[in-house]
Amino acid sequence: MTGQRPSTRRAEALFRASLRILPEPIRGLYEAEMRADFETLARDEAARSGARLWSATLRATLDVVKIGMVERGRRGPLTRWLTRWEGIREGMMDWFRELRMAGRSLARRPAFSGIAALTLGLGIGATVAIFAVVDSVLLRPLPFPESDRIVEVRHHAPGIGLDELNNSEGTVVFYQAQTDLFSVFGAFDAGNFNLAGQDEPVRVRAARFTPEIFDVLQTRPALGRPLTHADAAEGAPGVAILSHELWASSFGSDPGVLGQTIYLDDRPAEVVGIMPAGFVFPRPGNQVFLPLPISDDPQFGAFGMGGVGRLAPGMTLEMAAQRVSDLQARAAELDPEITLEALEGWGWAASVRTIKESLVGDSRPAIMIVLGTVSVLLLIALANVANLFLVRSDGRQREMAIRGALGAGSGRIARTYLAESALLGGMAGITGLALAGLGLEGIVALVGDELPRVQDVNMTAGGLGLTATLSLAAAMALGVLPMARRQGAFAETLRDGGRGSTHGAARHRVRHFLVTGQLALALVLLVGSGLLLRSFMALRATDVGFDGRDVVTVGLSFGEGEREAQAQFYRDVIEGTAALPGVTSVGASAALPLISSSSNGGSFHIEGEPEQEGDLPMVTLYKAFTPGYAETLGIELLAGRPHTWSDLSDDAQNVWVNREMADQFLGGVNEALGKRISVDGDSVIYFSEIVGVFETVKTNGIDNDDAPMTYFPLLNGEASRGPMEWMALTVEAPNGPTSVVPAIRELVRAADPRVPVTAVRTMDDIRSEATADTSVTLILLGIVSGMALLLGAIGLYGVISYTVSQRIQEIGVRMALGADRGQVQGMVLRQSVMVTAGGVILGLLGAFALSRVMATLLFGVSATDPVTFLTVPVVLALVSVLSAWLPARRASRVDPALALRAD
Amino acid sequence: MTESGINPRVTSLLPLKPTWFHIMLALSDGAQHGYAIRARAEERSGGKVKLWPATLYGSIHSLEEEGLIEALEGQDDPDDDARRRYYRLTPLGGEALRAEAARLEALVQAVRSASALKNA
Repeated sequence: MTGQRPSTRRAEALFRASLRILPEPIRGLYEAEMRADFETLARDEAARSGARLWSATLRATLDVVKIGMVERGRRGPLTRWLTRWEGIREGMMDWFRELRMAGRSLARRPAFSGIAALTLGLGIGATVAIFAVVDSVLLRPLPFPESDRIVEVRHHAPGIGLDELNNSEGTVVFYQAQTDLFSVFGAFDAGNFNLAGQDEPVRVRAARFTPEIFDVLQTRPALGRPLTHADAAEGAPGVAILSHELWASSFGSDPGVLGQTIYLDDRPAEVVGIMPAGFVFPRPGNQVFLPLPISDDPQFGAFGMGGVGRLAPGMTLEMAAQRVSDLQARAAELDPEITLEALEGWGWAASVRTIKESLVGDSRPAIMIVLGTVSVLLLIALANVANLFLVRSDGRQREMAIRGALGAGSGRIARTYLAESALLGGMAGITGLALAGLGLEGIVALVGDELPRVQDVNMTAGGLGLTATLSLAAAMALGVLPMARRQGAFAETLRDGGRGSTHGAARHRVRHFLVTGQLALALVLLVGSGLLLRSFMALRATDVGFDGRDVVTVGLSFGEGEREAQAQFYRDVIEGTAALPGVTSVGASAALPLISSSSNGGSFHIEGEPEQEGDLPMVTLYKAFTPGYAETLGIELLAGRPHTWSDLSDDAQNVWVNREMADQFLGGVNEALGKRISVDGDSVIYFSEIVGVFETVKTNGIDNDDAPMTYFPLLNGEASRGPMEWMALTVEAPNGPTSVVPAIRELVRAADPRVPVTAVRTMDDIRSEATADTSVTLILLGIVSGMALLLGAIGLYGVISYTVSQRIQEIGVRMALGADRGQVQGMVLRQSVMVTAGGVILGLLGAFALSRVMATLLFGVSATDPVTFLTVPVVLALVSVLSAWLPARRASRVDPALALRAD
Repeated sequence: MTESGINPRVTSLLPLKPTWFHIMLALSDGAQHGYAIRARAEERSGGKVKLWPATLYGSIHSLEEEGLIEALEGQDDPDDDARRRYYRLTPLGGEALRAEAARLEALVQAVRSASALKNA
């Protein structure tokens, strides 16, 4: 015997490995013999040729696999079960056969199958996509341990127009002392900083946390340490924690960044930690986390920070709400100047809600309305496909009747229908899943900015389960529908050739009912989108108090610094910009109209008008602005004089107010001139003279009430008010506003290279953003209700044309007896008018019933807006008549002779 | 064909699976080891029947369980691989083989007479 060749050894190794497939008794008893046999075999075959060796090896190995599976199957539980229940196996084979036949039958009618699967798939896909949003955004808990026990406390003082107030140092310290209520309570706020150290300074969003926040959230940095009380102490060296995303994008995920120093607005801070990836609190987009100090003498008055706590053990949300509410009577303890009477006058109250609710609560109505809308669309789609099925099952009546006559039991025939609908349901489910995936991407792309927790939105197991459930339910409904009307109809069908029986009347009723329902649901959706459209138009038509055409805004963040230095910088940039070719007007302000987050507010006093004990404080928004700002935005000066650069050097302190301020507190526009007011001066009061009154500009979204506003020059002596770390340049350039931006960047770099240029937007963009909430819902609802109308029209068309085809003979008789075309068309159209009228009446009832739900989303239009409620039915009726007109015309062209001959 | 006198245990085994039949037929000349069984079956069928190892020993396992064949202990051919065992027919196995042969013969005769009728 010669030495083994390598190929023989490889063949043996393969065979040996395959033996593991064999179940234990055979392998244990015969493995040695099998290997001995195979070695002999391999040697013999190898001696003849390599090809023979591998052919034999392959066959021997496949043989092992086959025997292994047979033997294992024989011993496995499934086989034993199947042998015991041979009948079940038979039944399953029957189903397979039936499904194969159904597949062939559907493939023979690709138009029917395609339309049915696509229609249903659309309905399922839309529902699943929106459900995924509901699940991800509204249902899934936030990614913190026991996140439903983390609550936010907010305060309310409706008596002085402050419906929503956050927390102050005073309230935070107060709640921290209530250890039976909150096991830990912390505060946060947010700000923007210039992060230097890279090639270009970047603007970063920062959140400031008191050290307790890490315990409230029970979340630690992934690297490094959390913030401590020592970090938050006065005079402590600066420290910062980076978000995972900033760490990755700006520091290349280098762990060595720990201990390094970064510069935020030129102040050094040591990086002490990196938060975990995906950490979001309190809002998405924060890149840096800094300590938030609470002073030793906490003030009650400045409500600028959010307050969150983790409920103490045993404390429920309801109990906490009650406790927090009860505690408010003690708010007077926090500040000697506050009396119980004052609290009462303010309508002082506090409320508690989970942080999830605070994050997503506002978007709930819109999301739920869209979910309701797509569910309605699914119903319409289902009704449509059901009608298709009915029409088709009528066409197959003879086939089924013959099968029945030949001895197929009703179970057998039921199986045929069910197999087809199951297959179709499966196809619809797969289509729906694909469409849902696309739809989700579309939704995120379309409304990503308006949707909280958009980073969490994805397809979940719940979504997959829903897809399966909906597909199955649709399949069952569709399969059962034709059968329900089939009982005992065979003989009749064979007798009359499937036409004109009493049974036919019942069938028509079902079909009419389905179409009526579709039209009614479509009407409800159309009314909904009609109302939103009217809201949108009202928002667009609202006078916002300025005209921002051809105006571009450029954010400049100088950062903290001396007020004089800030003012000089902004003045330099403004004067430089004014000299640029194409620029017709330029100014700046620390807060842009319509953008809610960028104004300060505070109480004010009028000189010579001492307040009475218990009087409600007067409150105004305020901001710094420059000459040219009002002119650029076209804000009308109602009284007094415009603002000029000479106001900055004057010794006199001057301010401008808006019409709302003048009307509410100063006795009117003209009376306001010359009055002296002091805004937000903590203890020392510095008065400024009102020298001008502007038209009121919408400050906080279009749909909010007008608010008093005081405008301060950049420099106003001791009375200077309004932060100037960030200002927005407003530049009017009629020949393409954005074309001047590069030159402005150049200017800014020359004036101070450390200052980043941020947020370049046209005023038109800002205006669009202010209507974005409504427009997003409008777009979604518009798309869905458009689809609903289309499906409804297709449904009506299908039913009318089918009726026409069934009545061809009758129509032929009528025409032979002298009916003219107009009469025949009228007859067919009458049918569609009946169906449409039913749909309109039902739909209007439904729309009225649902108008209450819509009310929260509307602006400037009543939920029972007559224009919408009158226009929409007319549109629906027109579309209906149009879709019935085609079959009606066909009916009138029937050749009586042909129609009578046909069977 | 008379079935009286045939062991009912044997009757219940008929018809034999083809693989079983070939293995038992190979053993009717005397005890053999697995590889020889394979060689004989292949030879007898003119190369048509190939008993690959797993099929062969899977069937040997079943035949042993049914008591139709048995392994001989301690009878080694010095030329052969020590891993190999020899198998032989049990008396029951012999009986079953004969019964199957008779059944097949009757079958062949039936086929022949039928074709004779047809050809006539």
